[in-house]
Amino acid sequence: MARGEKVLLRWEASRGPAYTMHWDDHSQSVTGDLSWESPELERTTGFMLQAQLADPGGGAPLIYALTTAVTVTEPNLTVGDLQANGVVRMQAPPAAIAAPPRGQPRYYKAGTDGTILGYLQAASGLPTATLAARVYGAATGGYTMRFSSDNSTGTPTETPISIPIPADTEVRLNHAGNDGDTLNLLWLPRGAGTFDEITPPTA
Amino acid sequence: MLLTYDLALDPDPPQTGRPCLLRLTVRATAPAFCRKIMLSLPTGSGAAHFTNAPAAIAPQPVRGGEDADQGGGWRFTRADADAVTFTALPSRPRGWLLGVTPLTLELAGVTANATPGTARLRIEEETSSDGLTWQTQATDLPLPKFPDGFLFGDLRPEPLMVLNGGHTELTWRGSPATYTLTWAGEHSGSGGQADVSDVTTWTSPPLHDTTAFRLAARLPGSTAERVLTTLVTVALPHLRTHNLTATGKMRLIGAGHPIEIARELPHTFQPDTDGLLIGRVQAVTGATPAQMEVTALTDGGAQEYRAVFTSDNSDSSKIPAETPFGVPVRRGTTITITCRYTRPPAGPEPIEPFFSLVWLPYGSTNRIM
Repeated sequence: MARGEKVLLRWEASRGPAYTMHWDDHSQSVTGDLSWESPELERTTGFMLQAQLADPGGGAPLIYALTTAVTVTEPNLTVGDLQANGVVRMQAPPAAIAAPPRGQPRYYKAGTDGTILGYLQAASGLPTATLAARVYGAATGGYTMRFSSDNSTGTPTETPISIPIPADTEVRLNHAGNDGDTLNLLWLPRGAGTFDEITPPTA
Repeated sequence: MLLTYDLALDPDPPQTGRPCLLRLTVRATAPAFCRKIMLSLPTGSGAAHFTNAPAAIAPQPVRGGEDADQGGGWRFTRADADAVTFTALPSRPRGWLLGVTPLTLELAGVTANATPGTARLRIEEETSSDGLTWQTQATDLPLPKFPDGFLFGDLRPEPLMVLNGGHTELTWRGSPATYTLTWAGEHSGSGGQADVSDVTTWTSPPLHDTTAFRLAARLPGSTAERVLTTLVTVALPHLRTHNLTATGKMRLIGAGHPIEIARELPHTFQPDTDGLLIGRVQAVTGATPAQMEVTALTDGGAQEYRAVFTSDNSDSSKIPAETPFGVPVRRGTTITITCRYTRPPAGPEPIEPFFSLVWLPYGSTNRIM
């Protein structure tokens, strides 16, 4: 079944024993029921229906169990080692980023891993333009990348920009420069997730 | 085959000389039309025959398929003079079968013959996916016969889910026989086989991904075989895939940390995971350019790439700028970072160029073994 769906398990059973459904590291009493609806499944899941009957002689309880498994397509996975030997598809189509107005830093939040790609071109004959990116992440640590374009002399050129962005980080982008600078930024997500502007945290 | 057949036996496994109930649950994986299902039992006294008393077999009323669309009720009867074939037919010309509303066909009073072994129940379906083109297809399912009183069941893992590297314990009940356990990981393909004839509990090796277990009971000297399966899920599994497609949120980048570099000496490291190296270099204003060179070598010492990032702030009329960079790094390569710059003249406070490196690994650094 698809991720996020629930599965209905049915069984036949005698009255008398206590019945317990086990899945992942959860369990729930299903005594008296002949069917049970799972929670929404995120990944392939094994189920065990266990019948337990107290031994009238005072010995260990009698236990009998049935197991089954349900496979889930496009699961949510959290893995240990990861290795892909074939085609890897995780780059999604790019989305435009609303670039910060010059001199006004803006904060953004990344919904998935990705890359900011773009270019900065300072106005011809004027001083240097910069784009400073500061990445804040509770889990990932922080880092800064500062891109400069100087077209005060010579033929104007673009400075390419490429900033790797981990999921769930907050990013501060600040463009310093002059009227006539060109700043163009794209969000290249891995998987699906936006790179949206957020309200700046209060100092 | 457009339909799937799930065979339940009571007792399970069937025992020689004792009557057995065969319950066949018929479902469609995708909705399908059906106009006939035929079951055949091999009769005789041999190991590959199931019963030598076919006259006693009683087909039971069909459950499911009552709606007009589903065939308006089904009849399950002995087919003409042939005592070993049974046919299920809808009242209407055809039935529309789905996965959620199965047909249940039952044969009661099927007495297993005296010879342990495995017979095969033959199933023939006349089905169509569009109601126009009809096909007759056949399959068969194993019908084991074990000696009177033989028990095999209650295969269960404890726990049902383990952390990567954890063990599970399987228990089962079974009469004396040859028991073989085979197991295989869902993605890694790692697995094995063990003879577990002398035990009824078995502890698995460390499991690294969701693993299917198959326990087969066989009677020495006969073809009787009954198989039970179960599945143990593994949290945080190692995953080795062929193609990999992510359609939702990706979190590949783990906790980053700065790499301290001594600018006088080349800095070398061997990443134990793929990742990204982020660097910054900024030359002193008015001084000669500063550089950072990144070289990646394979195990064998061959160069994978070499990249030089230069910051030139020699023109002191311009605002000094830094050169940022990011390069992907592969596990197992040897990365060497070299800083190049001209030493500033000795003075009370010599101004040095700025070099910085951050390692952003793919995956967490708290690696699970």
